[in-house]
Amino acid sequence: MREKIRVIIADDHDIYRDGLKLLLNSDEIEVVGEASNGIQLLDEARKYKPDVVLTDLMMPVSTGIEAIKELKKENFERIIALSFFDSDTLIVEALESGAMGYLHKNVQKEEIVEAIKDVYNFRSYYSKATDMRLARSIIKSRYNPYLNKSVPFFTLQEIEIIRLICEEKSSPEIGKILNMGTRTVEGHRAKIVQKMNVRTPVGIAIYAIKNKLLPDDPPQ
Amino acid sequence: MYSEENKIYIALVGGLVVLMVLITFYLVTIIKYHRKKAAFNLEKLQADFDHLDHERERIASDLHDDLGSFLSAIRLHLQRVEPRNEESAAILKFSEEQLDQSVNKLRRIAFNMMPGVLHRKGLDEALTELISLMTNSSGIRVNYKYNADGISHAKAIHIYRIAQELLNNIIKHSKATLVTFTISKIKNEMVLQIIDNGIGFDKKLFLKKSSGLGMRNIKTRAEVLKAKISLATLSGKGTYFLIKIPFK
Repeated sequence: MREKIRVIIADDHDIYRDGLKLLLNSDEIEVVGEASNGIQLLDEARKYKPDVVLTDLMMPVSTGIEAIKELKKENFERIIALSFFDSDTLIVEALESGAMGYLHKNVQKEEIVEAIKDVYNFRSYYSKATDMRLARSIIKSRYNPYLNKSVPFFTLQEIEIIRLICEEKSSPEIGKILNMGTRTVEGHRAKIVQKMNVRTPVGIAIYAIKNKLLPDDPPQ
Repeated sequence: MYSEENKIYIALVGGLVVLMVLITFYLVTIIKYHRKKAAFNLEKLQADFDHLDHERERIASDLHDDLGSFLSAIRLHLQRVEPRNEESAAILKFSEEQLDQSVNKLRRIAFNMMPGVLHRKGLDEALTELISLMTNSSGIRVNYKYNADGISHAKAIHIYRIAQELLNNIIKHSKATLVTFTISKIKNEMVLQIIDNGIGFDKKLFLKKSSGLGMRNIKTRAEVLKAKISLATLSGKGTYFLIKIPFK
């Protein structure tokens, strides 16, 4: 049997932690530690050396942001920030401080599990509910998970599709613009997503702009 | 020796001088009293605002962080329920949706009450967030530039509220499609300019009618900031607000 992904969760509300723990503990994931503030989180992380840390950002005594910065210093990378959907600045701050992904607090269980698995495999995770407003803030921020990483080759056609995805166009719309069937666009899209190792259009936009794939300035 | 006439004359002049001194003294006292009273009122106003803003901040953070987290936690726990039949699945789904809406509403209320970002990151970030929220829901475009660091948190709250009120008015009434909003630092003043391309309004009528809560709020906060507000508007051409706030 494969080993379980060992997770620590941090949130200042017991009831939230309990819910998360009961939801996550399974034959794939094991919650090995819990914390109700940033300092406790650091202690727990040092003690249990978890695979992934899931932390709320607003906690008393020492916030999640402070904990993320400290964890990053100790070469701990696989951190997921938990936040409410309207806390854009906090999310950007968490990413800049070293989080590898973030989740909005009202997501479904499946998404939490998906995020934990992605980050466990060192893949950035952006909550599916991310809107373009937050995406733009992330793009403008200092956060860059792609520094010093090689970029695969993208064909001119793929670049064109990526640009249209960044402009929030749907596959049928892209098909119309580029004179190809929706299916063909979907095919290209799947390849792009695979090459970039991302999941969502937001992921594509962040990847494309952080890696300067688009020759002109992105739409702001 | 003085003649009788001169004596009367001198007495008259003397009397007048005494009277003038008395009147001057009286006037100076009145002016001093009023100045003191005005200063006292301003201080009281400032204290009232501080108290109000502080309370708002506390309630907003309680709503946002505490109650919001509890609702999210309940939602999390609901996800563990395995519905027995279609009916219970539907009830569960409905409850989850209602919880989501409650959290959304709660957080909007909290943000309007006092955006946490203002306290954490300052005026620029708070205005950026406010503008994105407003443009998202209204379709208006706002060109926003901020270049004036160094304002105190207490003043930032007033400036934020003034800007929020003015932008709200523009979105509600002006029919503008484009707003240019700049905050810059000129000498010892923070200069706030808001220009829109909306329908404008009749200035006289506006000043007469501006007893509305929003406008009164702007005026009082401007008073506390010792700010000067100027306004130019042309029917059909748009509106220009200029506010100068001393840094000290």
